Amino acid sequence: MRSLTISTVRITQRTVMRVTQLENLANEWAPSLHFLVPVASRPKFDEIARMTSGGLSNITVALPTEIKTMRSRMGAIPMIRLDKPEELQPGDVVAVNPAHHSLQVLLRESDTHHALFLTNRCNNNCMMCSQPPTRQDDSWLLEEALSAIRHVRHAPARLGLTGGEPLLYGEDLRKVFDAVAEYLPGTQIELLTNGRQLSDPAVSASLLNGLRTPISWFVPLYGHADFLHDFVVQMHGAFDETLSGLLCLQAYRQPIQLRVVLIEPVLKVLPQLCAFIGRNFPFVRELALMGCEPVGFALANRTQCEVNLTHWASTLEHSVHLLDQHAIPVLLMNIPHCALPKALWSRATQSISDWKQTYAHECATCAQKKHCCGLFSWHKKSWGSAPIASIKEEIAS
Amino acid sequence: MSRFKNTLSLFLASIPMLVGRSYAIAGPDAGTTNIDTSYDPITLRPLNYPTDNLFASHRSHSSHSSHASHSSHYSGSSGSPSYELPKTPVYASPTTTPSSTTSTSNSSTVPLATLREQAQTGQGTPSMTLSEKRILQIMRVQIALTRLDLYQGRISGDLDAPTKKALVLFQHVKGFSENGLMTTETLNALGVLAVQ
Repeated sequence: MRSLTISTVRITQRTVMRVTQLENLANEWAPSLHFLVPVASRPKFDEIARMTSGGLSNITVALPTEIKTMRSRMGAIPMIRLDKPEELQPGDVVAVNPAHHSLQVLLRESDTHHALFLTNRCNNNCMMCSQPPTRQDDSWLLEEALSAIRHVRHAPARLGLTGGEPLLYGEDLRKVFDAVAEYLPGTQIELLTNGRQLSDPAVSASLLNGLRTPISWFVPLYGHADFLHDFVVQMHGAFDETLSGLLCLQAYRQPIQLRVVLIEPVLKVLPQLCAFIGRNFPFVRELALMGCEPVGFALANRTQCEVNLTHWASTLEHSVHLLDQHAIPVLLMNIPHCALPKALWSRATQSISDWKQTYAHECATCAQKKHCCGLFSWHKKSWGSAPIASIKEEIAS
Repeated sequence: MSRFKNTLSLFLASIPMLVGRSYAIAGPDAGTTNIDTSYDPITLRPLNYPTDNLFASHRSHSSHSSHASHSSHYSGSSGSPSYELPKTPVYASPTTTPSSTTSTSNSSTVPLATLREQAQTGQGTPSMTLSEKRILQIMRVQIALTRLDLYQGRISGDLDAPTKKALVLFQHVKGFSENGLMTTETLNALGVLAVQ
C-alpha cells in the first residue's frame, strides 16, 4: 500500500478522504464525504477559506511543504503538508493518520487492482502466509472500509476484499457487501477467504441470502485429506470447515476460485489434490495454482516453502492435465514463464498487482516478457519460483 | 515454542481428541451473478440537459400537466415496470417568473426521481429524497459561486435572497436572463452537475 509522510494541522483522528481538485469540488461535494483538496497558491487557498467560512467543515487542504503555512483570516482550515502533493491523484481515497504523520492511499482510480484490507486476524496459521495474522481487535478497519467505499468516485469493475480472514466479522461483513451494492453499483467483489465461517448456517444465511452484489469467492485448498490441508494451514479441523463452506457457496450458486499455493507439502500431493477437486468440486469456476511469495511466514518456513518449480515441471503438467480432464479451467499465478514448462505458458496470467510488480535485468532480453507476470518487487530479498532466465523463444499465444 | 509444527508427523501428533466434524448445509438459490461488462459509448453532450435539471424552476411547477402524462405512461406497463424518458424536455428553462406560492411536495415527480436515482453513482449519496437533492444542488451552486467570490454568505442549501442575488450577478456577467434561478443554462456555465 502506498504511504506518504505528512504533517497535519487541526486533524484529530484518522480520517478517510477523497482527493478532489478545487475545480471539481462544487460537483463532487456532498455533506457525508470528506474532501482533500491539493492547493499550491494563495488565491486558491483563499477560495477554500471562503468555503470554510461559509460553513463547509468537510474540506481539508493539502499544501506542499515548501510553502509556508498560509494563515487564513477567515477561519481555521484543516491542513496536511507533504513534500510532493502531485503524488496524490484526483479520485484517490486516502486515510489521513495524524498520530503516525502518514497518509495511505487506499484506492486509486488508475490502478488495475483495487483492494480493501479488512482485518489482520485469521483463524488459520498458514505456513507460507504472506500477511502473518495478529490477534488484536482491528474491527475499526471494517468501519474504515465502509467509509472508503462511500468515498469512491467511480465504481471499479472489481474490488478485492482481503485480510486476514474477512469472514471473522460474521454477519457484519454483510455491511460491506451492501455498501458496495449501494454505492458501487456494477462492481464485482472478489473476496479472499478460507470459507470456514460459512460452515455455520447462521453466518452463511445472513451473508448470502438475497445478495445484491456479485461476489467471487477465492478459497484456498491444500490437500485431498484433512491432515494434509490442516498441516499446511496449521490448524486442526480447518479442512472440514473449508469443505463445508465450499458446499455452502455452491448451494447459494456463488462462483468459486480455488487457490492452491505451490509449496513443497502441496506439490507432493498436487496430482491427487487436483483429481480430488475434479471429482468432488466440479462446480468451481476455476482453480488457480500460485507461486509462493517469499514474504511473511514463508521466510520462517523456508524448508517447506522454497521450491524450484523447474524441478516440479512434470508434476505441474500432470496436474493441469487432470484438471483439463475434469474441464476445470486452470490459472497459473505469480509464476514467471522461465519457471514453467513451455506447455503451461498459455495458462500463466499477469497476476501480480501493478504496484508490487517488477522485472529483473535478465527480463530485458526475454522474448516472453510481455506475456509474463514478472516478479514481486521484493524478489531480490529472497528466493523466487526458479532461477530467473531469459527466454529466447517466441511462442504464439 | 515455535508457532509452527513444521513436520507432518509432529503436526499429526498434536491432533486434539475431538475435532468437530462440520456438516454440509443446503441453501436456497441465490440470485444469478451475471455482470454486465458492456460500456456506455462516450458521447459529446452538454454538462446537463434540461431533463437532467430537477430544480430548474424553484417554486414554479408550470409543468404539472406533463408530469401527469408521465404518470399514466408509467403505470401503463404490466409486470416489470418500464419507464421511457420523454422525447421532449419536461423541465424546460422556466419562462415563468417565480410565483409567491411556496412549493409543495409533488408526488408525480417521484417516478422520475427514483429512475434517476438508480443511475447515480460515486456521489456518496445514493438514496436521497427529492428535497435532500434540492438542498445538495443549491449547496453545490453556492460552492461554485463562493469560488468565484460572487457569494459571501453561508453555504446553507437554502435558495435565499443573497444566493439569488449572486445567481443574478452571475447571469448578468454571462448575459443570461437574470431570474436568479438554477436554470440548466446557468448550471452548465457554472460547471455544476445537476443532482439526480
